[in-house]
Amino acid sequence: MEISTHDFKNNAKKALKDKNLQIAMKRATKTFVAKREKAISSLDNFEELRSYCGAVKAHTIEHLDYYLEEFISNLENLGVNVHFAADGEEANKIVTQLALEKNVKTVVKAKSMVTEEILLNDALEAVGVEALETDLGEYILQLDGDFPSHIIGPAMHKTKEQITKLFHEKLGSKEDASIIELTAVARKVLRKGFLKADMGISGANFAVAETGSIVLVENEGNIRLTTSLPKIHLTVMGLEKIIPRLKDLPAFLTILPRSATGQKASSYVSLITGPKKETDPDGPEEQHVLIIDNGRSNILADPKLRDALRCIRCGACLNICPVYQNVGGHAYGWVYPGPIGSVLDPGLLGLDSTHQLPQACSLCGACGEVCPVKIPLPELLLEHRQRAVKQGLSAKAEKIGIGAFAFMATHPKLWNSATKIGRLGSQFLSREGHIKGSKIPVMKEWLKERDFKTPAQKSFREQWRNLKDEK
Amino acid sequence: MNKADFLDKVRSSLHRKASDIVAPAPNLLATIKDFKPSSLVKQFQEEYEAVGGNFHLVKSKKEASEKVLEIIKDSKAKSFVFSNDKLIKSIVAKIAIPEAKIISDADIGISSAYCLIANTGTLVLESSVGRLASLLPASHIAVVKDEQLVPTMAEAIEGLDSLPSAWVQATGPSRTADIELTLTIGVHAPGVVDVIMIK
Ligand code: SF4
Repeated sequence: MEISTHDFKNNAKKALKDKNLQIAMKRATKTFVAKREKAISSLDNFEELRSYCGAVKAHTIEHLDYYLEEFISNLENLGVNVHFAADGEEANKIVTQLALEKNVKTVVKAKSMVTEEILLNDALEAVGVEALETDLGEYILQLDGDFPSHIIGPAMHKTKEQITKLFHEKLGSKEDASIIELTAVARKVLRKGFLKADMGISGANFAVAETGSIVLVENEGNIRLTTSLPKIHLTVMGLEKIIPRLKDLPAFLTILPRSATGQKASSYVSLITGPKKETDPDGPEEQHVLIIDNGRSNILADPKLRDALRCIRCGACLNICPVYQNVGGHAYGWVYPGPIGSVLDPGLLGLDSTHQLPQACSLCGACGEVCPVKIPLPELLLEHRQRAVKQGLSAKAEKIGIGAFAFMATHPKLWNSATKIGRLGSQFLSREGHIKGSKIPVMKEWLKERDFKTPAQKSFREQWRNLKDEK
Repeated sequence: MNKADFLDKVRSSLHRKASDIVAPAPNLLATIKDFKPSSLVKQFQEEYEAVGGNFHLVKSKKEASEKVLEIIKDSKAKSFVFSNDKLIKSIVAKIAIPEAKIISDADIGISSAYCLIANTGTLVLESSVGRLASLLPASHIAVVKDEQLVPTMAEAIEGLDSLPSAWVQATGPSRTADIELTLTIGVHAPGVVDVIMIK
């Protein structure tokens, strides 16, 4: 995927005109949001678990040196080969060398965002190793030469009709195949791949320092196959995936599927602890773990942004984000879209080429409210925006507006009164419930790309207070 | 990059030197409160059926064995495989269809479980009895005992002194929602799953 984070504005414009994308996005994000809400309401103490998981992750990140070392030495004791890469290029070199050395012809891959980040498939193909994506969504994208647009539902931007056509053309399935038939075709093709593959490559959802376990969460079973059938299993993971103890895991496994897909539990959770034991009837004989930095230590070194490394990639902030819902994942121009992408991408790629992403945010705050590890996403987005302004990366008029906004947003009293004023004032400026940019001087530049609904006469907080008073 | 350099980079990002590191002591622990079960069996059954699994409660090993034969008959499976498990070995002796020579050719796989998690309807499978019998065939039957039930995952991992090479928590059939978020069952792993519980 060619990085185009610098061109968000144009990407977004195109996305808004793409009818298929608009249909697919509306359906998908609405379903995700509704399912999440239902799954959370079945728990008595979601908020408590959120605080707990956020605190565990924050603690781990603050002591990452300690826990990484513990994790690595446990891996070594288990007989796992551990590799380290400073960046994507080095990572790809390590994997391709390993594949060639072991005479690997075919690799089966379980969905892994970090391998998308470093373009591992291209590197493998370049040395003549076939890399087969086995997650159904990823497989669809690979067939079509396309890229993921969501960290949980990678092919979410495609309609069923588009996929039926693709399978018909590439795999010879029926012209009007149903979703069940499409799935059966994929199972058959991919099963052959699994049975012949010499190496399985997975990511990691969590890495348990105390036990040296790699934890993988999925619904399809392709990860179980990837980590069970081939002789060699390689895990590629970012350095931030660590959690300290095995007993921390149940809480994470309670909030992750609920936040991601609205399930109480994902179909399969695998804890992989070392290669096959001598007495095991099956399983990979060799296990490798490749730990990647690729810009993460820069984020770690930045105390204001460090919290972003807590992310467990649930996708909830994407689904709830009004900007993401409208433009889809591709518009962001890299593997991590939506609010978390707009926070991570500038940290990983630098603000120069990414400053349009945090600027696209409408500052509604919804992402921060859903994040299961309580990353203060709105604050981090604002931090990037202020830095972009300071570095002279954003338009001049917008500077004043955002600077003022940031100041007010961090001063609650001012914020409440300012939003009240804004709300009254905007009633006069709006036509048919929408504010067209040019009326408000400092917001002119900002609103060029945005069409606002007139703010409600009362803020949500005020309405809520009134409601409670009425009771 | 070698390990020392990699860890040094992380350390310096945290503005620490190797000698500064002290073992942190997290003393947090959360409990997961999402159920008040009247009985673990009932709760397991409810959760397991909710995710699309078939649940059968039987009174003896003999009944379990009959249930297995019945499921196999109804499924029209032509061959089966089973995991290397004491409880299973005695049960599969009476199965009429042949055992598959290659696991991936089998239509049905039979195994037991390490334990069962009630609050999510989850089977814990572990690698010492083999990973593939419960994974490759399109159907999976697990024969278990009610005393293997625990309330949540927290109790399942409590007191474990070492983990198997693979510890798999399986909750219902294999599923995907990758095409327009439409739930489809049985993509890579078993799409039909039965639990036979001996009480
Ligand atoms: S930032 Fe939070 S909500 Fe967004 S993907 Fe990461 S964990 Fe989920």
